[in-house]
Amino acid sequence: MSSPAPPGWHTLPVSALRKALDTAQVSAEALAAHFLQRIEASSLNAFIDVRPEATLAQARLADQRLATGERGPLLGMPIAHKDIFVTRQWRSTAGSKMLADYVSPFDATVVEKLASAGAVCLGKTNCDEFAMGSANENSFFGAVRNPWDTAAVPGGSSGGSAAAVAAGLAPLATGTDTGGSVRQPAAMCGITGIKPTYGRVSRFGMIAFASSLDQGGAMAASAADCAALLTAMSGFDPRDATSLERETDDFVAGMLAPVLTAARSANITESRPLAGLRIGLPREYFAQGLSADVEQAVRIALDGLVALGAELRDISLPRTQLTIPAYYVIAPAEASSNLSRFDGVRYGHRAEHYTDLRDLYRKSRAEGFGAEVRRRIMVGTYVLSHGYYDAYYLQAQKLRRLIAEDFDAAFAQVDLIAGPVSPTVAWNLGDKGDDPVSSYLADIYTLGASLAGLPGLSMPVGFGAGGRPVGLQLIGPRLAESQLLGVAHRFQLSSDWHLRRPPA
Amino acid sequence: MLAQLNSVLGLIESLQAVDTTGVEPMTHAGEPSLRLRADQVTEPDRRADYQQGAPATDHGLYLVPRVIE
Repeated sequence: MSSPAPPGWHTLPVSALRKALDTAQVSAEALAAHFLQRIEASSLNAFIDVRPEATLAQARLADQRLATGERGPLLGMPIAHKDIFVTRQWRSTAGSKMLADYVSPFDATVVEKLASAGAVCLGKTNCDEFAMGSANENSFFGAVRNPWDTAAVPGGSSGGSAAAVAAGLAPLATGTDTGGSVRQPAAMCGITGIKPTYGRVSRFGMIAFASSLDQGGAMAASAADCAALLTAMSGFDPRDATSLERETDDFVAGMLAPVLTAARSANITESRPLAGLRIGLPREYFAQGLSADVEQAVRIALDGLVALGAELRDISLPRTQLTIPAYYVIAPAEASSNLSRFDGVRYGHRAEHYTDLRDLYRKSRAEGFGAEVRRRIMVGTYVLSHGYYDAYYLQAQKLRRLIAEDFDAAFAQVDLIAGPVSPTVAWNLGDKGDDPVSSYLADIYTLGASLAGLPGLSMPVGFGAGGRPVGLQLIGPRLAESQLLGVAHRFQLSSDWHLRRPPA
Repeated sequence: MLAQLNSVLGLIESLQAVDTTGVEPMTHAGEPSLRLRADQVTEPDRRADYQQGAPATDHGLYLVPRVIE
């Protein structure tokens, strides 16, 4: 093993780590060992499974590839995977007792792609059970703490990934987003996260929650780091029936390109890289319910975008309020169907005592699933049942189209949409524990982009009450990831919120 | 649990108030058209691997409590 990495490596951007690896200033093994050590010493509960031998073996392989002169954007780069992506070498639990000891016989496409790019897996990050939650409190493996304030939740469901990146336990992490699960924890932990257009990232090997909404995403300190990760994660996968059939995009190049087409970029200058960009502010995203501290940080960031040349326009997404009931019908309906596979027979938890087959199913499921998952299965089963199907499920799907059309209408007037990610900063652990509805209502700004399948990004733009981070959300039309990353990157070149680190 | 389920049902009740006459249901984000693939065997036999995680198996079969007396 080469000499240990100097302290402070965990605060460097991927570009600096890239350079250090390429010039043999640090080995992939030493870098991985540095992060493993930090994970070991951390008390945030951000990880569910860590296996140093497996990580270091991957790192040594990366070192061998580097030694032969091979180069690649993520070769030797440590990464943490949300424990929703299945892995052969680490347990795949989905944060559930149901899968507490489950080892997958295959790797998710995302895991496979990143491993072949030479990224080094640090382990699996904690998350809400089956990705159902907005605070990471629904994990069988316990709550995750927010590194900015350990009394606060990290957001969810990708709370372990967000906390790990914010605390310098991993420079990059994968997440998944069904109704905001990449963007909201990114906001609450003060990092950058992007959920791409539905279909960009393969769902093969991503433990299913709501298949028409589930989408993998990238989490890192900056837009530039997210762009590198998203490029390596995305691309057509024949094993996912809803994978987009298109060439793999280079989001790093896309991020650096002008944010507008040549015909509209005449006024762009070095100091005004967003000149001519029309950003829409949905009035429903700044209405009653948005807390003053979050609004203030968001408005200041918007002024920052204006200073870079962007124009702000008032727009409306009139059905914003209805995204909540639509989502909380569609997602549970799909979940109730997807989770029927957990029957205690083929894999996963089986009850110890049962009288017959029906009792085995009933007890295994009742014991294996936590309260929120059981609630959603029951709501989902109810809205799909005969006599209620049309009134709830079909009605929600019709509403989903109207919600998507609202976005289409908005993008006829503006290039991107901006607003808050969450109405408040991270709340205290335990504060919303017994009231699912109050937690559902806090998803109001992220559900629209999920239902419409649009790309959304969250970037840190300051701090609100209690010194807890605030995120700004950017939503783009389909396939506009490069513009989202490009705008965030220009903002980050002219500000330093993304460089702030929580106290050690 | 019952109180919480009722509060969730109360939340989704507001859908009923919206007039969606003539609106086509949207089943999927982006509404991908499903692909067909060639009718070829692509997966190798990995039954033993897949049954590693099963609570109880015997000779390649999943074991459950007796259902026929």
